[in-house]
Amino acid sequence: MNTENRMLHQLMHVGELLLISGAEIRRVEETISRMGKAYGAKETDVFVITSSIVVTMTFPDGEMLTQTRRIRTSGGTDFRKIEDLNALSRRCCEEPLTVEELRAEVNRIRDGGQNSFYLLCGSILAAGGLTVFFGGNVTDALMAAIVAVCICAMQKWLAPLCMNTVIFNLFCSFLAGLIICVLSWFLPVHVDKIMIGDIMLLIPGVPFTNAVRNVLIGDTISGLMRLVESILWAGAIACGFVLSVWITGVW
Amino acid sequence: MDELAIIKTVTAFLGSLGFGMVFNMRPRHLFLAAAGGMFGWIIFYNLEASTGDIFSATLCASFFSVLYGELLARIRHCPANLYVIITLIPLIPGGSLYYMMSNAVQKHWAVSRIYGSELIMYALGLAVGICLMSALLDFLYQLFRRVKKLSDSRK
Repeated sequence: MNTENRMLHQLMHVGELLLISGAEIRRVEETISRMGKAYGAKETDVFVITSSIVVTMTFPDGEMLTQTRRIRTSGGTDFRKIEDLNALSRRCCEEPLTVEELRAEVNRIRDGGQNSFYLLCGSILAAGGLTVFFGGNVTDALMAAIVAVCICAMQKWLAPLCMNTVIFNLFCSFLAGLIICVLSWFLPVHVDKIMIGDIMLLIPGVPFTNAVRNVLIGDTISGLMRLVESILWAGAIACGFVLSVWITGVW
Repeated sequence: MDELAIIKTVTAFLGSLGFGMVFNMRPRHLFLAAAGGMFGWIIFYNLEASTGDIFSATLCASFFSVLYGELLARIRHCPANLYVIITLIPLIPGGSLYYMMSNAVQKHWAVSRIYGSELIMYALGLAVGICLMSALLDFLYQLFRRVKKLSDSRK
């Protein structure tokens, strides 16, 4: 495999990593395009939708290369990876790294996983804070924080077992709702405020915002795909909570 | 500002901070992003209190969010989307969504419709605000670049 092919392969990794970390379509296309030009491509044609990346590069000696990448995971958000990849692309545009260095950098960014404790603290803070924001009291916030811990645990251990994000969110919201309702039998809490606080953790805020933005700035196909996925996702969460409340008869 | 508003302001900050951590933002960006969330919410609250209209309040608040996000992105050399999203967190209508849903399931259709229309106002305000301001900023940036190119070629 010659250098250009290997370079393009790394660029596909960069694009894929950006997409699964929650970057917008425009950003992915521009990043790949700019890096391609920095590495000597005369023309780059990049097509990105939420489930596929297709890139064709034309080089000054007439060589044309095309690679595609199928994206199966969706909906994650990792700002650190987006920031690091952005910094990497800026570096490469100023002074291109060798393909080996590029590969090492991409692997480093990909393997820099999320610190679970940080995520846990964030979830507790977000759920507790937003519960009070929507009108709950301190007890509600504590309950929401406890359920947030359960949600985090589910995201870590239940998610890999589920077929896709929508199904996982259905289960997750159902179980979270059950926990909240069962707790409400024993403690004087406002079930609705706690549920709102925990729903905010599960709502696909980032994919939805990106989808709306994409539809309105011209990436209509990707935008619509993500939008439909986000609506299904939100519907699954709604169903999960409604089911749990209906079963326990809290309403 | 009365006590309720102060509590909401502080928890808007905390909620945005929490989400910044959930999205694995670097700690050095967290404080400014969460502060943006707090300011955005303050703008929304004041506008909503004075005009009573949710759409225009969220519109202006999301204008602010995009401006704030883009400005900080330039200063700190990081993608704007990160700051914009965290700043928008307190504006997300979780409450309206939940009450619309719960009333619909209990067959209180009239109440559900009220919350539903509230939800649409929030969502539209956010969406239109983000897109308008992004389009405007992009236009200004392109204009600035064009003018700069012209003046550079004159020299």
